[in-house]
Amino acid sequence: MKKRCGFILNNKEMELSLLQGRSVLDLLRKDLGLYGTKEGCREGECGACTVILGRTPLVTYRSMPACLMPAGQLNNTHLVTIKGLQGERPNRLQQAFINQGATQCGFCTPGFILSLTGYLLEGRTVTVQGAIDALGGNLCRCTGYGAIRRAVEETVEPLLGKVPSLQGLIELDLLPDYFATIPQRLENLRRKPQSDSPDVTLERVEKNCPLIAGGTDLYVQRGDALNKSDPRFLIPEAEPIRVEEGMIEILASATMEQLRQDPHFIDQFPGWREKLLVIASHILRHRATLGGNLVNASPIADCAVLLLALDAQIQLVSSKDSRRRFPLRAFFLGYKELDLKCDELVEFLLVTKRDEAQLWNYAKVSKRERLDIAGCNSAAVFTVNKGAFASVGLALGGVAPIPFTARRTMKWLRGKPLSKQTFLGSMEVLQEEISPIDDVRGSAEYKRRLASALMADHYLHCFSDICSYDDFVKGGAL
Amino acid sequence: MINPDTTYHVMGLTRYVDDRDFPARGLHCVVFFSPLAKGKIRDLDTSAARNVPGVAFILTAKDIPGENQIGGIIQDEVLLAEDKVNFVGMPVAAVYAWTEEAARQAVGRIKIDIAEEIPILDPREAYNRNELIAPVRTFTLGDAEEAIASAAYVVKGQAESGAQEHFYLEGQVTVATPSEEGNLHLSSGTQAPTSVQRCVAKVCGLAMNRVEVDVRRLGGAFGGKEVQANTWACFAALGAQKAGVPCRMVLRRSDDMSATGKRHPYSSDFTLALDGQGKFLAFKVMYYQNAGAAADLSTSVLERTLFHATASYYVPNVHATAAACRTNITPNTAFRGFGGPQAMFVFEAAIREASRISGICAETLQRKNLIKTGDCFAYGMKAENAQAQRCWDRAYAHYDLQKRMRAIDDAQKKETCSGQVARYGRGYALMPVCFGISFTTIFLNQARAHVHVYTDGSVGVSTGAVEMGQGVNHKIRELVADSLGIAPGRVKLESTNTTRVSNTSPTAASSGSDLNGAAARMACEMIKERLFKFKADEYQCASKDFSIRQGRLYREGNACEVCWADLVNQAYCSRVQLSAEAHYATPDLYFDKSVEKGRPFAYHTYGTAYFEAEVDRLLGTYSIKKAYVVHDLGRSINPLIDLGQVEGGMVQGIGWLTMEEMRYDETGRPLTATAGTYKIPDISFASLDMKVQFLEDVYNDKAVKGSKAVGEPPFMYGIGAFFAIKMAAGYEKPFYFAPITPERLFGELREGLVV
Ligand SMILES: Cc1cc2nc3c(=O)[nH]c(=O)nc-3n(C[C@@H](O)[C@@H](O)[C@H](O)COP(=O)(O)OP(=O)(O)OC[C@H]3O[C@@H](n4cnc5c(N)ncnc54)[C@H](O)[C@@H]3O)c2cc1C
Ligand code: FES
Ligand code: FES
Repeated sequence: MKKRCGFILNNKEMELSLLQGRSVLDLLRKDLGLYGTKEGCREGECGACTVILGRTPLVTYRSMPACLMPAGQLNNTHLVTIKGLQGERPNRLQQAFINQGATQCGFCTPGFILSLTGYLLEGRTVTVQGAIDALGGNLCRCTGYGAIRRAVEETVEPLLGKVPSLQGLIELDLLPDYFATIPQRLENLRRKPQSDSPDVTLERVEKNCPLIAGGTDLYVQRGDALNKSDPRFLIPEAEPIRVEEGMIEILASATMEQLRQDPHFIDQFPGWREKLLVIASHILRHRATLGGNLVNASPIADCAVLLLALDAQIQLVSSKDSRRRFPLRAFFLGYKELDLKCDELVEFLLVTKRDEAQLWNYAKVSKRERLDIAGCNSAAVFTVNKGAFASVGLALGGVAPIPFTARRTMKWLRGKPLSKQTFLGSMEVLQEEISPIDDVRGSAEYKRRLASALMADHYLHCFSDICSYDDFVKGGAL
Repeated sequence: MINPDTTYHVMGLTRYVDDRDFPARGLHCVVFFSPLAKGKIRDLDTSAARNVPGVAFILTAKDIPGENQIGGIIQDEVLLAEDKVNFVGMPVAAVYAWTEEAARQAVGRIKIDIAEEIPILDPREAYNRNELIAPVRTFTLGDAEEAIASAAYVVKGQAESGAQEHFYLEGQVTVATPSEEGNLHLSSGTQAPTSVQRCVAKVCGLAMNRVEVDVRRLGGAFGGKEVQANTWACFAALGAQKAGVPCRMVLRRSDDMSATGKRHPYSSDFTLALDGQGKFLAFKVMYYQNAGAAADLSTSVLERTLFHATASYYVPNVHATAAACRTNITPNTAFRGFGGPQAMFVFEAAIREASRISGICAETLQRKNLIKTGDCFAYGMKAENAQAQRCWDRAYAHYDLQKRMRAIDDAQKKETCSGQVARYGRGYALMPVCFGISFTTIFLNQARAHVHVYTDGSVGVSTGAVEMGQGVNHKIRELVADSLGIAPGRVKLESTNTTRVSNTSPTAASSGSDLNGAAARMACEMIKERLFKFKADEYQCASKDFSIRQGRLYREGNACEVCWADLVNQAYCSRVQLSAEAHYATPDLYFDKSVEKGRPFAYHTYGTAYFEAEVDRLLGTYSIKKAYVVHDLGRSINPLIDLGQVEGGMVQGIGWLTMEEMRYDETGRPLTATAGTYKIPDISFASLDMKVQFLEDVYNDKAVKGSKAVGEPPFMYGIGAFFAIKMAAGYEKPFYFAPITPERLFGELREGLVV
């Protein structure tokens, strides 16, 4: 059944009657004829379809791939396509692309322009590296990126070290004037409930009626079916992470990027933001949620591996409003098998909050460093007391049918002195408890040896004063 | 002037084939592909598919009105499978429906029963079973065997390079529209409009003059839309012809990646012989090319491999043999470099092997043997105006390479002395390139251009060149403007259309601006000649007294009182012809296949690239840190466009030998035919320190305005990245297997770490 949906498309209020599951990409191109938004893959991999979505409060703008995004989630938002940046002439960023020769065939270009504009709209301090990282989800086959990097440098130069305001971006000719009117117009839209509110529900499985969080997994798996469906949504929260009674509480609807940018995690885990850059891409992290990552139950799921090492607790809520809370590792029962009943949802996750920075590491090996699924990944958290391990959290992906908590290795390490012998010994224990298989991400033997290498990476990262790479080579552990 | 197309690109205003409203009374085609690599079709059941609401009809081989044959050079490829399938992704049936969704749904309901046979996937196996696309070819120079027998060093080895997906951002696409009398108009994403026209005419059973192909621009192609566009154009044409309504055929990324051909994988055996000082004496090589299930362009690609067997070097004795081996994967096709990269990779591997055995460093071997003017290639042509040494020496001087390399050598030495293995290793490599410019199929080296001058002084130009991001239209715009003495803003490049310019060669072999630019200039000269004659009659003087500069007419160096627009308007009123058509054929090209000798290239393009890479020996990962290039492109027509071609080509080349991995399972099913599993360089991988310098003071008298073609040569620089990674890994054992994915590097490191 079609539902009414009200949103602002670029500079225009829209009220459409549409199927909630229709992808925003098809809505834009096929229904509305906005051909500036391109289709390159329908898999979230190329960024040709990138749009910017603005939500109240404050109007928070985020770039995202339109191909994996259901139209039903557009209600009360500001959707910006390349057309929405259009003035009479190219703006400052577009002119930089022209000057530097950063567009050849041009097919990828609108996506790049939107990702970068989205980055400037995020309300964070602008850096060149940040701007380049924000283009991680946009592929270009023509330019080799050299000219794109030069265009980005040219554009962000006057903004370096600053947090750009909407007005500032308008003055710099990076946004058209009408953006200044959007907050008020979104407010008007919200007050006038002309649209059917999308279905939000707690019943997870219902025939032909899937529950979508970010949709990044579902749309890749069965986009064609969803395009014709009327699904229900988990509605994102603006502030999904908070500290409560000594615990960091993360709602399941938190996106990967919200997790990456969270100040509590950044304080507690040095290097958090940089290390998490290898997960998916900038535009995708704005969509993919933690809940989806866990329920998707891929044995290589990055957030699952991280949270397992952090010894997270998971809380489920059922349609009858009853709740269960237990350690996350008990959630994964077998390959794609979870301790989650039909009428249950993941509500939130809990991680112990500590005041001091922790010793930890996260590493992932894949064909391409970023925006690629890992062959293997691993996270570790150590606490040390008087030269010995007091506690250890260790999880690996790609070495078992589930995101794997290396409990035997963790237990073996506890109380052992920090020494090369301990490190080498733990790797033998680890080898005994993992069981990787051959697949397209790598052979079993490769992943087995990679697991040891990742373990060594943890030690080298956390205890570089005690061990060196050479020790692991000579110790025969690799 | 900056290419004005780019303004439309950045504002999202550029229209590609599928960027238009498609009529509701129009058909969408989705193809059903063979799920198996080899076998006989026992049964094909389309009944359930026909019943899907919205389906108009389904075509199989027997429904084709013309010939079921799309082979180009060799007629060995059917459009739709008849009784057998030869590769996973081979089209078996085409579903036409009033919505794309319905067509897709119907394809999901087609059932096929195939008596499966064991496929051949390895080119060496195909060779042993005599599954060859064409007879084996051999190029020889001197006497390789004799030279090998007397050499100080003889090294042998094997080198492998993998398939590469083009990954043009815009997928394969054609929209066909029928007109009265059953003629067809095709708006197609092709590099070869005439090839589409010929192929569609044949399949639809029409004369070529009834098929019009129009190409505005492509969202990237790289060789992947030279022959491979024909298939999809035929499906669109068949639907439009049968139903009498427009028909749209757009390949989804996953279908595109599994059904279209790639760069040919090669497996090769080499022998290189050197004297005591490191001079190359002889090179022997056998190339096994994995051609896939049909010929496509494989024989031409293979020919270019033979032409580039000795890469950028002079080798007095050569014996190079090449076999196009028929296997059961997608018919492989053109891809930037066209067999050249595969050959150069083998030769560079041979140099590394020679360095390892002789102890002479690779750079010494490279420099000592670089090709010089007058040196003979194995195919009998002598190098003219060779710039290999100049590029190399300029790179050394400009980028201070000696010092950079010494620093890395010292660090490695220190590591060896300390007895401690370091986790991160650095390595470097130089990669010279010498690439022959021209189609090696001689008759393709021709082009035509039409120039119309309108009475307001604006100019419209049609050529056979297809714009796909390489900037050919803008280069021609600048050449035309320069020739007519007017501002480039007055010149418009029309779409490429077979009714305006017929019998076009594909826009390929880096030759687009060379050929079409030359033809356009010839046409301009003809128009100018007429204008000058008209004025000469008026002034009672000679035509040669006139010139046009900055939109004004000059007589013997003095500005006349007449501007360009007035001039053409006056000429028009005096009934002077203001349109011209010109034909250009590259002079002095010939090749005799019976002896495999001749002069197949108009000229060669040269360059040198220096790479630094860092390897994490623990995890087997790597990054490319530096790429410093000196590139010879004669006198650049547009340096900004040319810089983009060099950088873009190089990064594509790096991708080919590093992360881009086409994997097939043992049944021939592609495992990495999705954007999620096949990885091309992203901005973070490509965030290396990249510097490009164009060689100064070169004028190329063999191409338009002293320029040189730029499309393909830079691709081969990427080979240097591979060897820089190898050096950084720091192991001795030679493996010349590409792509060097992290998984492969990890495995190699564990086998052969030097301690
Ligand atoms: C291009 C691309 C790159 C990717 N890269 C990575 C990567 O680097 N690392 C990685 O780990 N993953 C990666 N992924 C996988 C990514 O899709 C998931 O990890 C993502 O987190 C899923 O979240 P989502 O919100 O989009 O899930 P959705 O697609 O919305 O949902 C997935 C499943 O979870 C269910 N679900 C969602 N939320 C809840 C909840 N609260 N309670 C119960 N059930 C729920 C849904 O019903 C559905 O069955 C990538 C995917 C793409 C397309
Ligand atoms: S189409 Fe490629 S990311 Fe959406
Ligand atoms: S310009 Fe062609 S893909 Fe980027």
